[in-house]
Amino acid sequence: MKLHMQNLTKSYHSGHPVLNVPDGTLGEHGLEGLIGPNGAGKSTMMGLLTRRIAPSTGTVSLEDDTDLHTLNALQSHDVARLGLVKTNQRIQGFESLTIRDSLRLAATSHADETYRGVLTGSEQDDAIEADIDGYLDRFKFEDPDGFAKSGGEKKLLDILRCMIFKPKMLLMDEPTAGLPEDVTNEVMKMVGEKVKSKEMTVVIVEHDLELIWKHCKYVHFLSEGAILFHGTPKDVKKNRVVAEKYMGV
Amino acid sequence: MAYLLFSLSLLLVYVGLAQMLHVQFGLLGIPNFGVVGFWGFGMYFVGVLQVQLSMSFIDAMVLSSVLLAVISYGLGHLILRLERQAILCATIAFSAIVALLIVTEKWATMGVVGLGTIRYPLRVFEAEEILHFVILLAFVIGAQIYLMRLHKSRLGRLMVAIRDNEELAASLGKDTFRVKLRAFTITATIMGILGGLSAALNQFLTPNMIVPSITFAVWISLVLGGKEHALGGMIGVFITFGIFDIFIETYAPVSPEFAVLVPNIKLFLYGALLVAVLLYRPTGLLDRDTEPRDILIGSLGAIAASITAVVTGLSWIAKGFESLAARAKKDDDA
Ligand SMILES: Nc1ncnc2c1ncn2[C@@H]1O[C@H](COP(=O)(O)OP(=O)(O)O)[C@@H](O)[C@H]1O
Ligand SMILES: [Mg+2]
Repeated sequence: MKLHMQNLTKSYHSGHPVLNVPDGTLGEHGLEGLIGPNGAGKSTMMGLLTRRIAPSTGTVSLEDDTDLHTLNALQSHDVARLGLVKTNQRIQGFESLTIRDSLRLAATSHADETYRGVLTGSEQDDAIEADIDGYLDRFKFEDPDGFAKSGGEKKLLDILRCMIFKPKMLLMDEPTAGLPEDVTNEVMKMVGEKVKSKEMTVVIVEHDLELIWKHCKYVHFLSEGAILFHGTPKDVKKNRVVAEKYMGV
Repeated sequence: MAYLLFSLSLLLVYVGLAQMLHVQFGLLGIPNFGVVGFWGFGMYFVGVLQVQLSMSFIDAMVLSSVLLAVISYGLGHLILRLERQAILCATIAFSAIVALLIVTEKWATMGVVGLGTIRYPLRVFEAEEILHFVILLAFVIGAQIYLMRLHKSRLGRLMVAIRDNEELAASLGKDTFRVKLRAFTITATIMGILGGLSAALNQFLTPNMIVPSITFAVWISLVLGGKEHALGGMIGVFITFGIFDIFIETYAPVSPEFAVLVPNIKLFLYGALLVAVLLYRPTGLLDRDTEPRDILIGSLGAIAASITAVVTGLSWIAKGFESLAARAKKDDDA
């Protein structure tokens, strides 16, 4: 699954665009990185791509095996149903749902959430429960049958919700900020497996460049709202603009 | 007896309204402050059709419900994407419009003169009041069973998720607006059906029945009982309306001279109880995980305690006034 951006811009009240991408494509290389200084517009770009933020101009389209969908007319939930979801930079959650219920919510199809289902009684979906058990075996929560407690647990749950949703394309906005190192490694390992088995393509926003160089096949560099460079990690590391603007050399 | 039956029927209507508000506000976070508007629409519409057009109860009820469903759907479309404060204002405005139309559209509603007499829908057995009570009871029990199941269902889980974080739910493929719109339309229409059932109960309708204090009473009950618990609305109504209105007004040993004071004392106690609950138990008496067994024990205890407290308090107050009166009389004599 690939995302195309055409003349995509976003400006807030001040008028000066925070994002301006005349032409760009994400998701051609399995696992990609999106890097750039704070305030470069990385989160804004991800919000535009998933229709959480409405663009000022331009179009976003999603290409899967068979079709090209223009996302502009769609709402957030339509985009998710096409298979595109994102994890959040800022902690997000459902405070009255337990870890398991939160995962069940993400894994359950909207077609099963009906008024009639209230009457007929909704038996547990064994496949979903097995999936949840699998994730909770792999990732340890302090109280796996209760609520996510720390910020780190909430952040991890946000990632697992997206995983269990089984998207075709996943955008991850600073997923490892706030996660302990071993959890980060396990998350990246899992992401790597899913990409390798072609279950999903993934784009990661990260400040931890070692992680980017290690896992990503391709990297986009964003600064002041524009994609200034993209290429393999090797090329990006060598690039003078990236070095000057970001790595403080 | 007839009066008690009337009061108990009215209590069931309040329970029904609180159940619907629980879905709207407790589960979905939609602050409907126009409860009386939906209820009043149903009550007057069913009343007008029956009295002015001699329609049967069933026909009037069906017509009124269809119309209210369309109106609620339209209203929901306009307001359910807005901020909560805006929804609150818009629903208050809706109920104000309903109340105003009832006064101004005299050709249909008879305005302040009042509309009557509305007969009970079932007149088979000479026991129409009891039958009507049974209908309401069945309605409320049915709704309660559905609510309990809703809480354990996928749809219920989705509703709670939407209340907690609508944007996040949408990003997981949930059409949150549609879920809210449907639930709002259904529950608002049921509020109207409860209104339709209240028409016969009141027999004679006047515009001063459509007052915001009904909305407040339902809200206070729900908040007091626990807005997130399936039984919260019901328990809240039992405590507010059941104890204060029915029990005290019917049974409290107050001498007739001081009976006029009871409504004021009632309001005062209402308020004090609400403040106490909000201070010490902001989730309401029942929080979202309270077990049924605890509810039973707790509510029996609470009912016993409050009845004792209220009765003792009232008789003390009554005694105090009596002695005051006696002293005043003595002074006069002297
Ligand atoms: N809602 C908003 N209103 C105004 N400016 C915003 C808003 N959201 C983000 N911005 C601005 O857009 C720029 C890009 O922000 P963001 O996309 O969060 O950057 P990044 O994720 O790359 O750190 C920043 O300068 C930020 O201040
Ligand atoms: Mg960011």
